[in-house]
Amino acid sequence: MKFEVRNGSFAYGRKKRIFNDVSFTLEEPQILSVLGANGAGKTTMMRCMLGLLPWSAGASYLDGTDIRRIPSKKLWKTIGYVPQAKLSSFVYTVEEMVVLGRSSHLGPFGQPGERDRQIVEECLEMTGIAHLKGKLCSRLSGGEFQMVMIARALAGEPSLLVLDEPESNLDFKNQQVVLETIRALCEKRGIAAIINTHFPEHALEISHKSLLLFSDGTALAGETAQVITEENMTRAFDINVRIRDVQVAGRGHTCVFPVLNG
Amino acid sequence: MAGKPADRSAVEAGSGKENRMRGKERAWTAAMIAAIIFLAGLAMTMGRYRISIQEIFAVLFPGLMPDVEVSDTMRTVIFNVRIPRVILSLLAGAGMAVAGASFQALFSNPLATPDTLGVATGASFGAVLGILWGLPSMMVQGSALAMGILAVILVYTLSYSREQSVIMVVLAGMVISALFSALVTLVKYVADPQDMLPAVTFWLMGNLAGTRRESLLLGAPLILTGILVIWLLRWKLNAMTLPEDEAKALGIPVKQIRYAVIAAAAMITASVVSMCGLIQWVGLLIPHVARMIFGNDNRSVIPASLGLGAIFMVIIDTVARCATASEIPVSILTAVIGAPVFIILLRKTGGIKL
Repeated sequence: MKFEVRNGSFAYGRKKRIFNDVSFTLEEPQILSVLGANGAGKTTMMRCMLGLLPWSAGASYLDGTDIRRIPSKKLWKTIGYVPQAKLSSFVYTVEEMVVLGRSSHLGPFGQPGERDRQIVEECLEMTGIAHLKGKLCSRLSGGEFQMVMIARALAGEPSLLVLDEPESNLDFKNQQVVLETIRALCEKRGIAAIINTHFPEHALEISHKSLLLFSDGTALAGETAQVITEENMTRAFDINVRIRDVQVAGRGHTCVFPVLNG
Repeated sequence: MAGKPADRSAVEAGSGKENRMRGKERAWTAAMIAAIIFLAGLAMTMGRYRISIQEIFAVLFPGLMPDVEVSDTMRTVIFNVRIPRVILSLLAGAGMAVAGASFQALFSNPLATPDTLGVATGASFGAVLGILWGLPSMMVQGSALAMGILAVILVYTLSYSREQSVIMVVLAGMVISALFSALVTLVKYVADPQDMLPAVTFWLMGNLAGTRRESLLLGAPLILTGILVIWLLRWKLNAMTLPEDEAKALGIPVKQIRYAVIAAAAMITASVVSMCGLIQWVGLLIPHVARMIFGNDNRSVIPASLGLGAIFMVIIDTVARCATASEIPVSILTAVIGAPVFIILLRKTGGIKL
């Protein structure tokens, strides 16, 4: 699987340009992080990339084919989308929710059968929430519900996972759990992932590539270490940013932090 | 949480629970079918002209009970009056409940009813217009059916665009519903208060008194087709309650399913209203009762609404025609009987699962 965006641009109407001429390539089992300030268009970018919103110019390609030319069921068998976790007005149990991820494999009148149930079971195991199977999604914690959303995307057996701020509303521990799960999935199953995130440290921690969106509509894509630099981050977030390496118990960590009046 | 080793016993316990769930569903299905058959039979015996259960068996299965004597009047009453009426009440109840359940899922709104898009109001206008013009009953039914379908076509046209959203559909529905509601009021206003107005008003309150075999032949296939379509799509309805992007990203053809379900529910609603007037409450109340018992999974909600709707309506209609010397309008009874039942269930089950 090779996912590519070539010269993607998006504007609301004629004037309101969000971003311009974005290009990147991603192959299994790489992880790409998308970073940018509020309003820089991270979510819009993700929706365009997946064809949920039409590009103003440019296109996304899956294995060289424009995704607009790929039948929707085939496309969503390859791509698993994990939206920002939100409950709908009708609440389902974890199992009912995750089995919806099988939709792209079933016909118009199809219903999930024994095989689908087994796949759901595996996905629940993989994300560590098998014990929550019969629980209502509204009774879960934020971290658990995020895992349900990831499990649902996995149930479609995708080659590419696309996650919209999966660790945004979570505490330290759960952020790590989610990141570790994503990293483990990419390593064990050999799938690729694209992650929108507000945390440059997370990008440095798990992603091979990064895409940085600047507020003037331009973008920078490349190796994470080359993209997340003090200079680029300062420009993208309009605040002085410093990057420091710290050693904790013999392990190196990279800290990215804003400096006021620096 | 992540990377925890597979807990065998938990998985096995899970599948045991699953079997229990399926057992529960099977028991409910059997109980509902038995209740429908029993209540339908019972409803056929009741009414001004008294017929015993044995006599019904003798008429329905000739030769089964040779010692029971049946008269021609009895045959006529059973075949031309009671059976069509009982069948219509079952179909109307099942249809309205299924249509309501499907709209609630489709619009992701627990307050949606079969009339959310103005189909029932449109059909009412068609019917009262027919009554006003003094058309024969079959033409009244036809006009109601046509106006109901016209209403949903108008909604479709108004909301049509490339980036159409569900909110646009609902807003268009509200506009069309308001329009037809005003037209119904206009008909009432111009109707002769001596003989037309009572007929119009009585019709609007809903009743199954006019049921005949011919009217059923026109309406029943539409109701059954609509129910079948929604039944087949019932699992997809779960995905339709999610935000549109999410449903699309699951590989669901959102637009196509939306239109298939709207068309199916409109067919049901227009045919039910064209045959028995406005029947309120059933489409809102029954699906919620089903959710209180089975949870929100539409794989259970749709079948349960179908069964419970049929049971509820056959009881209501039997009370409507037998309780007093003259017929009681159905919509009054659905509210008077339905509201307390709903409240009792609400208190007992702790409400809809949130």
